[in-house]
Amino acid sequence: MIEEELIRIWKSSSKEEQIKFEKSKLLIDLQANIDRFNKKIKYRDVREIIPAIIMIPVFGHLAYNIPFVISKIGAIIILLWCIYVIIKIRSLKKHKPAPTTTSYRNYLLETKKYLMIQKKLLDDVLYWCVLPSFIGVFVFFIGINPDPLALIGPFILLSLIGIVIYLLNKHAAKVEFVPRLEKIDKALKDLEEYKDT
Amino acid sequence: MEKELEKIFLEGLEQNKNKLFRICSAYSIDSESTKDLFQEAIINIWQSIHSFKSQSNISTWMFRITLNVCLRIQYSQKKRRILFKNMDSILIENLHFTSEKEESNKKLVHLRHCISQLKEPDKSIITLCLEELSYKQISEVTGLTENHIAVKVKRIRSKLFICINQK
Repeated sequence: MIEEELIRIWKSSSKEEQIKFEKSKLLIDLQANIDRFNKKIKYRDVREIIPAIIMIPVFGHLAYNIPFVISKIGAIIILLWCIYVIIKIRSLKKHKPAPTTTSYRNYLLETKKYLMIQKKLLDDVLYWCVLPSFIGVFVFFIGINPDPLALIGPFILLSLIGIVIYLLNKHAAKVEFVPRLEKIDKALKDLEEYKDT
Repeated sequence: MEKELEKIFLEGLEQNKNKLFRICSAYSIDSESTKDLFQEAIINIWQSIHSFKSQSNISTWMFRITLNVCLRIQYSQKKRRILFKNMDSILIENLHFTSEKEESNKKLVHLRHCISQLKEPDKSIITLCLEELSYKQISEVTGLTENHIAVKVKRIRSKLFICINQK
């Protein structure tokens, strides 16, 4: 089969479908879709930091009013951690997914970079989320009741919550990002194939 | 400025709609997903129209976005992968086949099957090649050098011929 024949067959698909645009409505439709999408993103961004925003006045109030010094320290640790989480999430928003206007090769490279940042966030959840919050809350409890026996319950509960959060994030990184990164690596490798021949 | 961009967009779309649709078809499993992908590509093109530089070629630019959208959807892990939906201002009618067209349709299905068997980047390069883009244009879309494209096209073509002749 000669190449012209292949091109002819390939282009014959246009005889199957007829594409029409209602031009007067098209641009309105497109913009409505984009606006709806942007609204969703904005809502998602706010939703992600809302727990931290709520916790700041609560632990600020506790840090100021609670009579136990150690609990005050715990509340301050949680307060600082909440601020850090907000800053971290906001700084992550600066990393945008790769723009589709770039070349195919660049798109792959940029997407890889973006996915690696997202994956690292989940991989490092122990250091930026689990440990600081665990320490803060545990110190807070020590201040309220320093009896070691009374602390066993909260310690076990907090440890279990921390382990579950850590494992869920590790699992999400593995399921959500590892396969995509592997596919992108393979595509990049295939793209570079025959480069030096 | 806004009106000018709208004009560029609509003209570019009218001129390239069939080509873009065919590229989407290489990344879809059925006609419904081709339509979804096509719609997604158009929205992305419109979303990026402000970054279009009038001195560059609108067709190449549109191909680039469409391919990247196809790639993004392909690599997405989520089941509901299409972000935008329900645009009734885009009408895609499936035309009925006459008996003489049936044979050419069989060939088309086989060609699409063979293309789907190719490696991901090869699929992109061959679809652009079948759209009769020059090596220079393919190089602009993919980011590879023209020489590299030439070597790749030669190899992909051989693979495609082998697949087609296996029928």
